[in-house]
Amino acid sequence: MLSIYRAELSKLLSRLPARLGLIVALVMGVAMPMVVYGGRWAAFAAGTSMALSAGAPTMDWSPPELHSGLLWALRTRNFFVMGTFLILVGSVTFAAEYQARTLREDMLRAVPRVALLFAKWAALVSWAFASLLLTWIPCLLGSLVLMSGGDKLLAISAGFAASGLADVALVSFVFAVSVLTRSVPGTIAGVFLFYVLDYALGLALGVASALHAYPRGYEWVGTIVDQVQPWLFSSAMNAWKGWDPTVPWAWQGLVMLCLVIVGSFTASVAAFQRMDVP
Amino acid sequence: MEVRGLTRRYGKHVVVDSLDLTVQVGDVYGFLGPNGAGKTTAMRCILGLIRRDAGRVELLGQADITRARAQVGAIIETPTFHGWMSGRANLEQAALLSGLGAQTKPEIDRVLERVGLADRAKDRASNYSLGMRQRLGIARALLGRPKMLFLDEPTNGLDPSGMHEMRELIRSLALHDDITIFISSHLLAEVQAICNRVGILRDGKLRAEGTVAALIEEARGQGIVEVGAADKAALERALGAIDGITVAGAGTAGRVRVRYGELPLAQLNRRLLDAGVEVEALVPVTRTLEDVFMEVVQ
Repeated sequence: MLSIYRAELSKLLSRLPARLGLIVALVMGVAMPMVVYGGRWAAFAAGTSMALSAGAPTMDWSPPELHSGLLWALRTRNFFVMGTFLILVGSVTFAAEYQARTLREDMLRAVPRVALLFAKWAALVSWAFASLLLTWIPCLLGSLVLMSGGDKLLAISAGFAASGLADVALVSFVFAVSVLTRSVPGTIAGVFLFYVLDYALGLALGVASALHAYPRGYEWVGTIVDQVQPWLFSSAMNAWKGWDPTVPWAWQGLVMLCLVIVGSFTASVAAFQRMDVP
Repeated sequence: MEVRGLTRRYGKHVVVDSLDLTVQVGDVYGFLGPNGAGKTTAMRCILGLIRRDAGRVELLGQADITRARAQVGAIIETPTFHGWMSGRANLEQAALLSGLGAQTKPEIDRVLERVGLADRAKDRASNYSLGMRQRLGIARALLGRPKMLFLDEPTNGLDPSGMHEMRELIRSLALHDDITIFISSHLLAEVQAICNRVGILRDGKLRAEGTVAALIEEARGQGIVEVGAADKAALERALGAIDGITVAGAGTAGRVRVRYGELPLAQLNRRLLDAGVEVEALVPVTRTLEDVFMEVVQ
């Protein structure tokens, strides 16, 4: 099993989108503390210069808080950047191989279908974690060098952990769609369509929840709407925002992410077991 | 390999219909049939790439095909590779999947040497010619020293020298590596040259099976002879009057092709002479596997 996993991981890491994703993750991790620090320094320099020309007393320099680089890195990676790579890499892992018929060559070895699928999924999950760590670790180290103070380091790191869970859920979902559609464009379109529907549903529920104007006798609808909303995929994907003390951790979102992971992998196995490989 | 009642349908269309096959250890078995006869589908079913609707397959004494594949190498249609990887890296992938462990490097070196690709192993697979890809496919199939090899149209798309190289390679694998080979091909002369047994498939059904020699011998009873005479019109009239034979068209050098069936040639000659035809030539047409194939599939 380990050698099948190694084969899949080395193959995945040799793919261009996967490499590019890791580079972007690393660049985010390295650059973000510098960007935040540089931004603060530029603001300070501009403020000092203005104060000097106005004859006002200048401010003392204070570096950004320790967590601010991590926070911006977390926000940036979760603003479609890594999501895009997760979808790309997730779709090529199975669908591209099916289309290129290289999957057939793997199937001609003495490898059980479930083991092959699990190895592909595990390689994807490893890649997703690696991309997370490539942002988190350099960002943390850079922040420790450049910044000081602040008390949200642990909370934001917990946000990174929740973000990792969301990445695994997304990549598992993309993987399942790629097994079901067996096509890269089909996977991307399927995931996009699901996102649109999920967001539309979330929006509709949000509007309904905000209105609170249900006819007499139908107030229970409002209760259901409020209960359903945290379970939506899009809400669950934002579970990382629980790092903020003013936003409570949505446990439903975390549970939903786990359900998506288990459900997606189960669906992938069920589909692949019956699949004809050309 | 033992296949019994193998059936595969696509909707209402039966592509492989109750196929029975037996391949003995050491056989080089030619699996023949026209395009669309169901050869590739049957091979895919046997190897577990696609589901079978009915039937039983045993490979190397095992009904568990996944497990049996540990001792089987295969090329189905054109072998495919990860084009951005080198030939060697592609083989390393396959070796990892096969769990060759410490044997990986020497085994890859061995198969690359075997197919004559050792010098080009570091090149990207996408830069390989079709012939090189076929050879790399064979190298991959040979990883782990399989006991049986499935080759689906291994000479497809190759130029004459590539075909020659491939034929020599297959022949040498059968002779020197003690590998049982199951090969599908359209090149009947090649199959006749390298296979000891053949099966001919048409419309998903096995129409003929046996040793090449036996099939040709069996067909000899439906032999063809070319008859030549100075007076061709008289010859054709005389042939039309003889029972048990049929005129099968024009032969070479103005002769007439005759399917003589069970009638001995000497008697055919005698009847023609009796009918006043001055027979100039009576040339039996040598039967080949191609003749047998054409008779079975038409």
